Amino acid sequence: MRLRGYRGSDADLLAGPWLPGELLGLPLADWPPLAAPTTVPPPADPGQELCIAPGLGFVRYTELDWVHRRARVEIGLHGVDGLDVLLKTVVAHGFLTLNLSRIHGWVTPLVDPPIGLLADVGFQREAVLPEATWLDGRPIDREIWGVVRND
Amino acid sequence: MTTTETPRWSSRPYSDADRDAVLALYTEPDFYFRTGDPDTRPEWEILELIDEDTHVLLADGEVVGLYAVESEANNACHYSMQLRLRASAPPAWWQSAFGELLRANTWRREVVRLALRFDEFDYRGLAFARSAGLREEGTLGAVTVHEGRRHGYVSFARIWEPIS
Repeated sequence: MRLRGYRGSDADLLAGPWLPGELLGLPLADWPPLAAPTTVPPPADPGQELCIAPGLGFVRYTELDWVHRRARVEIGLHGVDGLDVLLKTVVAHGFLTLNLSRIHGWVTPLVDPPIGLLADVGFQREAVLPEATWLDGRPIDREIWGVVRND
Repeated sequence: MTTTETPRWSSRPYSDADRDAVLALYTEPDFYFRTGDPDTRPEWEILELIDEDTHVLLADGEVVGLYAVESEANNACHYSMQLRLRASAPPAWWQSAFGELLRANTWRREVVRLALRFDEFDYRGLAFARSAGLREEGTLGAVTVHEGRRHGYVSFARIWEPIS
Protein backbone atom coordinates (compact mmCIF):
# COMPACT_ATOMS: atom_id res chain seq x y z
CA MET A 1 0.00 0.00 0.00
CA ARG A 2 1.12 3.54 -0.73
CA LEU A 3 -0.51 6.70 0.57
CA ARG A 4 -1.35 9.26 -2.06
CA GLY A 5 -1.86 13.01 -2.06
CA TYR A 6 -5.23 14.60 -1.33
CA ARG A 7 -7.45 15.87 -4.14
CA GLY A 8 -10.63 17.91 -3.90
CA SER A 9 -12.61 14.89 -5.03
CA ASP A 10 -11.62 13.10 -1.79
CA ALA A 11 -13.62 15.50 0.41
CA ASP A 12 -16.22 12.86 1.37
CA LEU A 13 -13.49 10.81 3.06
CA LEU A 14 -12.82 13.56 5.62
CA ALA A 15 -16.00 13.03 7.65
CA GLY A 16 -17.23 9.98 9.51
CA PRO A 17 -18.45 8.43 12.75
CA TRP A 18 -15.19 8.19 14.66
CA LEU A 19 -13.74 9.98 17.66
CA PRO A 20 -11.99 13.28 16.86
CA GLY A 21 -8.22 12.97 16.72
CA GLU A 22 -8.18 9.22 17.24
CA LEU A 23 -4.97 7.48 16.21
CA LEU A 24 -6.96 4.66 14.69
CA GLY A 25 -10.36 6.16 13.96
CA LEU A 26 -12.71 3.31 13.15
CA PRO A 27 -16.43 3.74 12.53
CA LEU A 28 -18.40 3.50 15.81
CA ALA A 29 -21.42 1.27 15.30
CA ASP A 30 -23.61 3.05 17.85
CA TRP A 31 -22.97 6.58 16.58
CA PRO A 32 -26.33 8.42 16.95
CA PRO A 33 -27.83 9.06 13.54
CA LEU A 34 -28.48 12.71 14.32
CA ALA A 35 -25.04 13.38 15.82
CA ALA A 36 -22.74 15.34 13.53
CA PRO A 37 -19.92 13.28 12.10
CA THR A 38 -16.35 14.08 12.99
CA THR A 39 -14.62 16.07 10.29
CA VAL A 40 -11.12 17.25 9.53
CA PRO A 41 -10.35 20.16 7.22
CA PRO A 42 -8.81 19.51 3.83
CA PRO A 43 -5.06 20.13 3.74
CA ALA A 44 -4.21 23.72 2.89
CA ASP A 45 -0.84 24.54 4.44
CA PRO A 46 2.43 22.91 5.52
CA GLY A 47 1.22 22.54 9.09
CA GLN A 48 -0.36 19.21 8.36
CA GLU A 49 0.19 16.34 6.00
CA LEU A 50 -3.04 14.66 4.98
CA CYS A 51 -2.86 11.66 2.69
CA ILE A 52 -5.41 9.27 1.31
CA ALA A 53 -5.33 5.54 1.93
CA PRO A 54 -7.02 4.34 -1.25
CA GLY A 55 -10.33 2.66 -0.53
CA LEU A 56 -10.03 3.17 3.23
CA GLY A 57 -9.93 6.79 4.36
CA PHE A 58 -7.43 9.45 5.37
CA VAL A 59 -4.23 9.61 7.35
CA ARG A 60 -3.43 12.99 8.85
CA TYR A 61 -0.07 13.94 10.35
CA THR A 62 -0.80 17.06 12.36
CA GLU A 63 0.90 19.22 14.99
CA LEU A 64 3.89 18.78 12.72
CA ASP A 65 7.18 19.95 14.14
CA TRP A 66 9.54 19.89 11.19
CA VAL A 67 12.49 21.05 13.28
CA HIS A 68 12.29 18.26 15.83
CA ARG A 69 10.69 15.91 13.29
CA ARG A 70 7.64 14.73 15.18
CA ALA A 71 3.91 14.70 14.63
CA ARG A 72 0.63 13.49 16.00
CA VAL A 73 -1.18 11.19 13.62
CA GLU A 74 -4.88 10.58 13.29
CA ILE A 75 -6.64 8.22 10.95
CA GLY A 76 -10.24 8.20 9.79
CA LEU A 77 -11.45 5.02 8.14
CA HIS A 78 -14.64 4.05 6.42
CA GLY A 79 -13.80 0.35 6.50
CA VAL A 80 -11.78 -2.01 8.65
CA ASP A 81 -10.08 -4.23 6.07
CA GLY A 82 -6.31 -4.28 5.83
CA LEU A 83 -5.61 -2.39 9.06
CA ASP A 84 -2.30 -4.15 9.60
CA VAL A 85 -0.99 -3.13 6.20
CA LEU A 86 -2.33 0.39 6.64
CA LEU A 87 -0.61 0.86 9.99
CA LYS A 88 2.71 -0.34 8.59
CA THR A 89 2.27 2.13 5.77
CA VAL A 90 1.44 4.96 8.18
CA VAL A 91 4.63 4.38 10.17
CA ALA A 92 6.77 3.93 7.04
CA HIS A 93 5.35 7.08 5.45
CA GLY A 94 6.00 9.07 8.61
CA PHE A 95 9.55 7.87 9.02
CA LEU A 96 10.77 7.38 5.46
CA THR A 97 8.80 9.86 3.38
CA LEU A 98 8.30 12.65 5.92
CA ASN A 99 11.57 11.88 7.72
CA LEU A 100 9.95 12.13 11.15
CA SER A 101 11.64 10.61 14.16
CA ARG A 102 8.58 10.33 16.38
CA ILE A 103 4.89 9.72 15.76
CA HIS A 104 2.26 9.63 18.45
CA GLY A 105 -1.51 9.54 18.66
CA TRP A 106 -4.49 9.34 20.94
CA VAL A 107 -6.10 6.00 21.69
CA THR A 108 -9.43 5.67 23.50
CA PRO A 109 -9.65 2.32 25.33
CA LEU A 110 -13.42 2.56 25.78
CA VAL A 111 -14.05 2.04 22.06
CA ASP A 112 -11.96 -1.12 22.13
CA PRO A 113 -9.37 -0.29 19.47
CA PRO A 114 -7.17 -3.11 18.11
CA ILE A 115 -4.15 -2.13 20.17
CA GLY A 116 -2.40 -5.36 19.22
CA LEU A 117 -2.10 -4.06 15.69
CA LEU A 118 -0.61 -0.81 17.00
CA ALA A 119 1.93 -2.74 19.03
CA ASP A 120 2.79 -4.89 16.02
CA VAL A 121 4.08 -1.83 14.14
CA GLY A 122 6.01 -0.46 17.11
CA PHE A 123 3.57 1.77 18.96
CA GLN A 124 3.80 1.69 22.76
CA ARG A 125 1.46 3.01 25.40
CA GLU A 126 3.17 6.06 26.92
CA ALA A 127 0.62 7.78 29.11
CA VAL A 128 -2.95 7.84 30.31
CA LEU A 129 -4.93 11.07 30.07
CA PRO A 130 -7.80 10.94 32.58
CA GLU A 131 -11.13 12.28 31.34
CA ALA A 132 -9.51 13.58 28.18
CA THR A 133 -12.56 13.50 25.93
CA TRP A 134 -16.32 13.11 26.03
CA LEU A 135 -18.38 10.24 24.71
CA ASP A 136 -21.86 8.94 25.27
CA GLY A 137 -22.74 11.43 27.97
CA ARG A 138 -19.60 11.22 30.10
CA PRO A 139 -15.89 12.04 30.19
CA ILE A 140 -13.61 9.17 29.32
CA ASP A 141 -9.90 8.46 29.47
CA ARG A 142 -7.53 8.53 26.56
CA GLU A 143 -4.03 7.20 26.14
CA ILE A 144 -1.00 8.44 24.24
CA TRP A 145 0.64 5.82 22.08
CA GLY A 146 3.90 6.61 20.34
CA VAL A 147 6.56 5.09 18.15
CA VAL A 148 10.11 6.32 17.80
CA ARG A 149 12.27 5.73 14.77
CA ASN A 150 15.15 3.32 15.27
CA ASP A 151 13.58 2.21 18.53
CA MET B 1 2.47 6.48 -33.19
CA THR B 2 4.78 4.39 -31.05
CA THR B 3 6.50 6.04 -28.11
CA THR B 4 9.91 5.78 -29.79
CA GLU B 5 8.92 8.17 -32.57
CA THR B 6 9.57 11.83 -32.04
CA PRO B 7 6.32 13.70 -31.46
CA ARG B 8 5.34 17.16 -32.55
CA TRP B 9 6.15 19.35 -29.59
CA SER B 10 4.18 22.33 -28.40
CA SER B 11 3.83 24.17 -25.12
CA ARG B 12 1.83 26.82 -23.38
CA PRO B 13 1.93 28.56 -20.00
CA TYR B 14 0.08 26.58 -17.33
CA SER B 15 -3.52 27.64 -16.86
CA ASP B 16 -6.49 26.31 -14.91
CA ALA B 17 -7.56 24.42 -18.04
CA ASP B 18 -4.47 22.20 -17.56
CA ARG B 19 -5.22 21.48 -13.92
CA ASP B 20 -6.52 17.91 -14.25
CA ALA B 21 -3.79 16.91 -16.69
CA VAL B 22 -1.09 18.29 -14.41
CA LEU B 23 -2.57 16.65 -11.31
CA ALA B 24 -2.53 13.39 -13.25
CA LEU B 25 1.20 13.81 -13.89
CA TYR B 26 1.75 14.11 -10.16
CA THR B 27 0.13 10.73 -9.52
CA GLU B 28 3.36 9.20 -10.83
CA PRO B 29 5.75 8.48 -7.94
CA ASP B 30 8.75 9.71 -9.93
CA PHE B 31 7.35 12.85 -11.51
CA TYR B 32 10.06 14.94 -9.84
CA PHE B 33 9.10 18.44 -10.89
CA ARG B 34 9.98 20.63 -7.89
CA THR B 35 9.30 17.81 -5.43
CA GLY B 36 10.84 14.48 -4.54
CA ASP B 37 7.52 12.99 -3.43
CA PRO B 38 5.05 13.86 -6.17
CA ASP B 39 2.33 11.28 -5.63
CA THR B 40 1.92 12.03 -1.94
CA ARG B 41 1.57 15.80 -2.38
CA PRO B 42 -1.91 17.26 -1.83
CA GLU B 43 -3.61 19.26 -4.52
CA TRP B 44 -2.96 22.64 -2.93
CA GLU B 45 0.76 21.97 -2.67
CA ILE B 46 1.03 20.83 -6.28
CA LEU B 47 -0.69 23.99 -7.44
CA GLU B 48 1.77 26.04 -5.41
CA LEU B 49 4.64 24.30 -7.22
CA ILE B 50 3.29 25.55 -10.53
CA ASP B 51 4.19 29.21 -10.94
CA GLU B 52 3.97 31.73 -13.76
CA ASP B 53 7.17 30.38 -15.31
CA THR B 54 5.77 26.88 -15.62
CA HIS B 55 4.73 25.63 -19.03
CA VAL B 56 2.95 22.44 -19.93
CA LEU B 57 4.73 20.43 -22.59
CA LEU B 58 2.57 18.69 -25.16
CA ALA B 59 3.48 15.84 -27.46
CA ASP B 60 1.13 15.73 -30.44
CA GLY B 61 -1.28 17.85 -28.46
CA GLU B 62 -1.27 15.76 -25.26
CA VAL B 63 0.18 17.03 -21.98
CA VAL B 64 3.21 14.86 -21.21
CA GLY B 65 5.33 17.06 -18.99
CA LEU B 66 6.27 20.39 -17.48
CA TYR B 67 9.15 22.76 -17.86
CA ALA B 68 10.25 26.12 -16.58
CA VAL B 69 13.11 28.38 -17.56
CA GLU B 70 14.08 31.08 -15.10
CA SER B 71 16.63 33.87 -15.24
CA GLU B 72 19.35 33.46 -12.63
CA ALA B 73 21.11 36.77 -13.27
CA ASN B 74 19.78 39.73 -15.18
CA ASN B 75 22.99 40.72 -16.91
CA ALA B 76 24.85 37.42 -17.19
CA CYS B 77 22.68 35.51 -19.67
CA HIS B 78 22.45 32.80 -17.01
CA TYR B 79 19.29 30.69 -16.93
CA SER B 80 18.12 27.55 -15.19
CA MET B 81 15.76 24.97 -16.58
CA GLN B 82 13.51 22.44 -14.92
CA LEU B 83 12.17 19.71 -17.18
CA ARG B 84 10.09 16.66 -16.45
CA LEU B 85 8.33 14.21 -18.70
CA ARG B 86 5.90 11.54 -17.60
CA ALA B 87 7.24 8.05 -16.91
CA SER B 88 6.06 6.60 -20.22
CA ALA B 89 8.10 9.08 -22.25
CA PRO B 90 11.14 7.31 -23.71
CA PRO B 91 14.66 8.79 -23.43
CA ALA B 92 14.44 9.92 -27.06
CA TRP B 93 11.56 12.21 -26.12
CA TRP B 94 13.66 13.87 -23.41
CA GLN B 95 16.43 14.54 -25.91
CA SER B 96 14.00 15.75 -28.51
CA ALA B 97 12.11 18.05 -26.14
CA PHE B 98 15.31 19.42 -24.66
CA GLY B 99 16.64 20.16 -28.13
CA GLU B 100 13.49 22.07 -29.02
CA LEU B 101 13.59 23.95 -25.73
CA LEU B 102 17.19 24.95 -26.34
CA ARG B 103 16.28 26.18 -29.79
CA ALA B 104 13.31 28.14 -28.46
CA ASN B 105 15.18 29.69 -25.58
CA THR B 106 18.11 30.87 -27.67
CA TRP B 107 15.92 32.04 -30.51
CA ARG B 108 15.68 35.67 -29.48
CA ARG B 109 18.10 36.10 -26.61
CA GLU B 110 21.63 35.24 -25.72
CA VAL B 111 22.13 32.36 -23.31
CA VAL B 112 25.64 31.84 -21.94
CA ARG B 113 24.85 29.41 -19.17
CA LEU B 114 21.91 27.06 -18.83
CA ALA B 115 21.86 25.11 -15.57
CA LEU B 116 19.87 22.03 -14.69
CA ARG B 117 19.99 19.92 -11.58
CA PHE B 118 18.61 16.54 -10.66
CA ASP B 119 18.33 14.71 -7.37
CA GLU B 120 20.67 11.78 -6.85
CA PHE B 121 17.71 9.42 -6.70
CA ASP B 122 16.28 10.68 -9.98
CA TYR B 123 17.65 8.02 -12.29
CA ARG B 124 15.72 9.09 -15.37
CA GLY B 125 16.69 12.71 -14.95
CA LEU B 126 20.34 11.86 -14.42
CA ALA B 127 20.38 9.49 -17.38
CA PHE B 128 18.94 12.23 -19.57
CA ALA B 129 21.42 14.85 -18.36
CA ARG B 130 24.40 12.57 -18.84
CA SER B 131 23.34 11.60 -22.33
CA ALA B 132 22.56 15.18 -23.38
CA GLY B 133 26.14 16.34 -23.42
CA LEU B 134 25.74 18.57 -20.41
CA ARG B 135 28.70 19.36 -18.22
CA GLU B 136 28.41 17.57 -14.87
CA GLU B 137 29.55 20.10 -12.31
CA GLY B 138 29.24 18.26 -9.03
CA THR B 139 26.96 17.10 -6.27
CA LEU B 140 25.73 19.10 -3.33
CA GLY B 141 25.35 16.37 -0.76
CA ALA B 142 22.62 15.55 1.71
CA VAL B 143 20.15 18.26 0.74
CA THR B 144 17.03 16.14 0.85
CA VAL B 145 15.54 12.96 2.26
CA HIS B 146 13.86 10.46 0.00
CA GLU B 147 12.45 7.11 1.10
CA GLY B 148 14.38 7.20 4.34
CA ARG B 149 17.80 8.10 2.92
CA ARG B 150 19.59 11.37 2.46
CA HIS B 151 20.48 12.46 -1.05
CA GLY B 152 22.16 15.35 -2.75
CA TYR B 153 21.48 16.96 -6.08
CA VAL B 154 23.71 16.88 -9.11
CA SER B 155 24.34 20.08 -11.04
CA PHE B 156 24.68 20.13 -14.81
CA ALA B 157 25.14 23.00 -17.24
CA ARG B 158 25.66 23.89 -20.82
CA ILE B 159 27.82 26.93 -21.45
CA TRP B 160 28.09 28.89 -24.67
CA GLU B 161 30.85 31.31 -25.60
CA PRO B 162 29.56 34.84 -24.92
CA ILE B 163 28.93 36.93 -28.00
CA SER B 164 30.35 40.03 -26.36
